[in-house]
Amino acid sequence: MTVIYLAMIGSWLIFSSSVLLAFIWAVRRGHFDDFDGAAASIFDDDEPYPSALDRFPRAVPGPQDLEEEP
Amino acid sequence: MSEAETDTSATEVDARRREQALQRRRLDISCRGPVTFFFASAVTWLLVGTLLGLLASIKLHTPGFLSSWEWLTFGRVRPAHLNLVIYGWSSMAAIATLLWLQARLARTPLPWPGALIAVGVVWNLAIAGGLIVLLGGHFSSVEWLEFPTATAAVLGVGFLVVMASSITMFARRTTRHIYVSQWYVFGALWWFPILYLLGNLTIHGGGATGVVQATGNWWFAHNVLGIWFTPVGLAAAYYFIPKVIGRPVHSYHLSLLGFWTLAFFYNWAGTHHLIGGPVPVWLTTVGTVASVLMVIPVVTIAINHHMTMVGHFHKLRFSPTLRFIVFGAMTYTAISLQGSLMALRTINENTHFTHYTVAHAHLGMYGFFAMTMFGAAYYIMPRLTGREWSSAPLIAVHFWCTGLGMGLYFVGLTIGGHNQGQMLNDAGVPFLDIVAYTIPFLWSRSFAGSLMAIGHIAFAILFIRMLRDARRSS
Repeated sequence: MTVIYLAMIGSWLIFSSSVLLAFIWAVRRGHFDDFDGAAASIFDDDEPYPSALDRFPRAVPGPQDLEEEP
Repeated sequence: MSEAETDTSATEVDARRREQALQRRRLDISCRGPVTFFFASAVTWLLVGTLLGLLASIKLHTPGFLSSWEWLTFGRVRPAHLNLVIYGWSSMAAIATLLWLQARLARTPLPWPGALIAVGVVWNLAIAGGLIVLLGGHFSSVEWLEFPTATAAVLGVGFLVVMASSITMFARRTTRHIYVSQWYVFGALWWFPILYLLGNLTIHGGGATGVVQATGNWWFAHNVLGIWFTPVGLAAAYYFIPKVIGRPVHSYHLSLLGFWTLAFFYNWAGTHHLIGGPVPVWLTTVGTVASVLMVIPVVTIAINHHMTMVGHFHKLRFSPTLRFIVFGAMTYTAISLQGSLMALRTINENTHFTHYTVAHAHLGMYGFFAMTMFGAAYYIMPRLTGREWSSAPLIAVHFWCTGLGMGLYFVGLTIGGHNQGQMLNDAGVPFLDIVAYTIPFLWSRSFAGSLMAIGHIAFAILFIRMLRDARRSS
């Protein structure tokens, strides 16, 4: 009986305390200092593209949506 | 990025863009083997899992269907369906997506491709073996932990390898920023392997029997949704929606608030499954409180995705990825708010043990998670193989059959389940009348499931054609 409660409460504590530690780490490392930079970090210099990056195949004429093979 | 200052000459900008395009290419090439393998395996298990689900569905309104062979009786087909779609389709698609996302976001190549493919191969063998054992009738009857110990051990080690590869990429990251999707991926891979090992040890290790086992079961099963599939689905939504429409997420602040509140609240929510059961009241109350607190992350995420999409909804017409992912993100809001309500005692006493809950579960695992994974595959696979999807009409068939199928599934079982609950709570209604009452709704479920199966076949054809084209050109 007690084993499962120990496992459950233990895991609750492990999960919650690890979240707390990660949060403190992120604050100290300054990961919450630059929201605009973080939000834009998924784009490269040539992005965001003016048109959608993903289209139905051959639905719209024009350049390929796939990134160019260099 | 902002580092590209105006005094940089045009040629330097060009060189930088070229370097970034090359980097994207390198990252995709590093992911090609493992991510393609995991997606291909996921699609295979999706087809088998769908077939088993359809069989289980038909048996509920036509009990004589294929019932002369004990391997295909309801009691075996249902857990087989459940475990294949959870550990075969959903988990393998999740791993494919999160490995690719982490490589892209950390801007570092995926390490140990050979080891990851080996994990995928052994994983498939373990699931195939587990399927035979399940259909043979040897399983624990603890939902989502039915697989034999050997399969569970293989999956547990597999999760640890995936976790290690993701953490390695995170440690080798070449970017200054941690994007919100990385927080979600990190959370999923930190919590789930621990949960899976603890769940198997406590349930299969003999430490828990009877009511305690049921408690452990629901603590585990709800956390599979809450701290494994939900974070991966949200990581994908937070990446693909802004990426495809070409606009940063509406409020990065809200996105972080959503992650950290989810991280604190979700793992406490599972015990709401035990409302009305012979367990201490505080235990279910903890689950109810946490479930209602989940309204905070859900509403922040809903506002954020909606505000990011405002002004861009017309792009749903052009982008398969966006269609599936926005469908998934909208469903996430609906399913989560419904879930918070269902954790309230007054509502739970009507919905518990009815088809209403089955509709709810499928809206979450399918309407939200599976649809989001379809969207992710539509974006990722062309970049790995260098091939376009072969047919726009087939994509449309996939979207409309799965979308309408899910809608019909939900509406039918929600109405049928609600009324079923009302009748079950009325001592004057004979049980067999209730069973007979639900039959038309169960037929509607089989019809909806057939639609979804057609969608899956369309997706599988597209997927196979893409692999064939890639092989031909290489």
